[in-house]
Amino acid sequence: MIHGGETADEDGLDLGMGLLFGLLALPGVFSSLFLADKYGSLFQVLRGDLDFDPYSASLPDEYFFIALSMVVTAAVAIWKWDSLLPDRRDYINLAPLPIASSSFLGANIFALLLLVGATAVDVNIASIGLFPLVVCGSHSSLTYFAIFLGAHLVGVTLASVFSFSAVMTILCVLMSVLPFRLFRKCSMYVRCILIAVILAILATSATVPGEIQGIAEHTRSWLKLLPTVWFTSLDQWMLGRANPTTAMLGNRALIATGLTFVFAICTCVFSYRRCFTSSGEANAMLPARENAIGNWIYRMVHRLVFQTPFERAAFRFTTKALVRGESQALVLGWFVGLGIVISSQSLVGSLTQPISSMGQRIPSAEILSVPLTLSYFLILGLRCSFEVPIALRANWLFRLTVSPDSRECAAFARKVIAVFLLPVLLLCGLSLYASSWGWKFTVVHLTIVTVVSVLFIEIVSIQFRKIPFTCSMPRFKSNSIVVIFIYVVGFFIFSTATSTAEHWAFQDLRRVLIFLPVLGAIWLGIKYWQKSLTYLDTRVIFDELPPTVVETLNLSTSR
Amino acid sequence: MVSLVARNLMKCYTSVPAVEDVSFSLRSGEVLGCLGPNGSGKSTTVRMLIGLSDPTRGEVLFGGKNIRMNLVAYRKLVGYVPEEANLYPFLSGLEYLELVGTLRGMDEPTLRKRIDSMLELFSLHPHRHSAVGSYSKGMRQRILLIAALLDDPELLIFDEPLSGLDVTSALIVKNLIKLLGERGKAVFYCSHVLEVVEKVCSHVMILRKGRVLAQGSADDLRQAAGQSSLEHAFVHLVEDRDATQTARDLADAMATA
Ligand SMILES: Nc1ncnc2c1ncn2[C@@H]1O[C@H](COP(=O)(O)OP(=O)(O)O)[C@@H](O)[C@H]1O
Ligand SMILES: [Mg+2]
Repeated sequence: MIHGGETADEDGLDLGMGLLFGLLALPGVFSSLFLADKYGSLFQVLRGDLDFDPYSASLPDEYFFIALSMVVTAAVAIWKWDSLLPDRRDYINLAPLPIASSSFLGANIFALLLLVGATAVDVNIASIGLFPLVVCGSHSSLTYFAIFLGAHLVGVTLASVFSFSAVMTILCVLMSVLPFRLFRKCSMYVRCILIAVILAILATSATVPGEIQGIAEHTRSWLKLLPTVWFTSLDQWMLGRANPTTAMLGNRALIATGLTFVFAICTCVFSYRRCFTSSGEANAMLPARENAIGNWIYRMVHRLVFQTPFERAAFRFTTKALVRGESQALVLGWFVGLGIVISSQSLVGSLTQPISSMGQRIPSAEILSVPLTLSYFLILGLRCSFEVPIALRANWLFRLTVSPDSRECAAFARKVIAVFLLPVLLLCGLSLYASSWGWKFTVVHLTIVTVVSVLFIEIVSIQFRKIPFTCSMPRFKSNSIVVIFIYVVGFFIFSTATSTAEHWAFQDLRRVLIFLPVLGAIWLGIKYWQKSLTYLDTRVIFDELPPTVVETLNLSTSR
Repeated sequence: MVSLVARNLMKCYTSVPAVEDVSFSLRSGEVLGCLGPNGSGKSTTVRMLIGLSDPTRGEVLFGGKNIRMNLVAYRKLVGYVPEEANLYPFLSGLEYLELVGTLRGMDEPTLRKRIDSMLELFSLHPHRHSAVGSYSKGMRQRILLIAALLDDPELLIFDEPLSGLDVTSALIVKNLIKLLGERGKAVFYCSHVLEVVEKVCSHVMILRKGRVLAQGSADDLRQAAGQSSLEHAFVHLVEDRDATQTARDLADAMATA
């Protein structure tokens, strides 16, 4: 926590702040766009409805934003898990200095509070800015808007604080109860469980909101145990729409936030002393084991896909870094998680829809979009995680053995992404479709998904000219916002537009032929783009030291 | 028979050159020791020899051709131990060596066999599945040494290979370097430790502030300086201040108010 920038130099394990904040804001942007679409049609229906009450009509979305806020904040805490409390490196740096450990503790807690604050603001900024505007757009009264804004702001912020404190408490309790080695060992499992929990919480936003208003009737409902329900109730209570049960639940939200916050700080103080004194002795890394199945898979993939020594070595390196490098795994996990959430939402949505007499034989656009969504986020996640550096100082090995004129990197990146993608696609596609549809739709759909994915892989890797994980993060530039925007739009083209077009084409399979010229044109465009790249655009690049280190060296020698 | 020739190498990071006008030649069967105090430009020279950084002026020739002409083929013949043991901490020692071997295009059965026996000889076999990040400095240094020797290169470039090694390993490496020379390899060996250079090297080059002070076979140098041992010759050449006096001044400086 305290060392901040230094960690990046040590292991390259820290993400650049810019990309981090961009990633965190991404779900908000996505869901706001979804929402704009939804509210647009909602308003069309409701235009004639005079006693439409935006306060209560917005409840499902409010619930979703609260869940999102909790989930993203918890994800940050899970991600930063190892650096929330001081670790071995801090110990080595700080322990010899003659400073009281209480001032480190103070600094650590202060840094934690800053992290919570910044995350809460960043995660919710899109929804705070847009959501009240969308909902209260038709009301001219300013107080009406202000009340809604206030309630939303308090709800999502407290939800953030609550979930961060909860994760922090779990961390600190584990840290103080378990022996250090055991703690290191279970950390990864606990984090996986927590990720599953937050994904489940997000998934509840498809079904739970409908139940909240009727919650008073079921006295012993499990819904009352859901923190998301508490905070939504709090929001409703502030809007003056509460019944006695929701008022009670809203109260519970306040109490829970206060308690977990205080508890988190107490456990932090308690475990601090312990981890600070014990971590100096422990050995931080876990031993790896020989893995026969893993070796066999490697050999198969080598034989089938990766022929040159460079590709084989780089493939082993890439897979291991992806699995063992925490930031890499978490970036990938974050994108895949987003993909699972979005595709499960469309799956749930399509299952609850009434089936029209005509649509029964043809899969709906929502179902068709599931593998597309998964594929989009897997590709994007892999591509983004390749940007996250790992142990930059060890790169001399690649610099020494890879030819500086090598132009293999883009092709290599494509192959790696394809290797990860294809089995997932086949599995999910086959299991989804082969059972309920005929083989015709399945084959056509899988072919289209594969072709579209291959095109997308080509696009994302076109200017890739490094070995994955061996360059420091690109600086956050103003055009990064444009890039994020392009990814959002790209998602709608890749998943929503393609699946809608497919749904239309499936009504008469001859229409599928229309895909040929369109996809062919895109392919030609990509090839043209590739041709226009110069030698310097495609040559492999390395960067061995983070920029700051080089600068310091220069300073020290210039006397 | 290989030959490595450096011609008038110069490297400037700032306006003051870190290395200036360094020339030497190294043939198969020779062990050239590069000796100099901290910051004298040894590592800079090595990085130019291996092609990791470009000389500001001058060139490095291998077999009569500039190494820039075909860097990949050149490096295939070179084993390199860098100054700092920066390895990928998330790989195990075994995996790291496999990565190195694969990158160098070695075939798998040979690679496996050599890694196994070398890990055994450097007493790293019990730790081969542990992550490199958990290794001590000496263990990482031994991994570096194995990685350099793995592909049986013709030319070996060592930059302070003994740093962090325990007594036994250091002894092994010293004898190994001598033996490599006798077996017809060309070895470039950098160190600031005089005794070692004196023991293992057939030729010596002394650097100071980026310039070559003296150069020749170990015996020549001793005679030229008119000293009985290389240590005296070195002190005579490099040190322009009295070590005992400096130590005394330091002790005094600590006590000043
Ligand atoms: N990357 C760099 N940037 C700037 N100066 C450097 C860099 N590397 C080395 N130097 C300078 O070059 C000189 C020689 O350094 P080096 O070759 O590492 O010495 P040695 O290995 O003999 O101890 C030193 O003065 C050092 O500060
Ligand atoms: Mg050096």
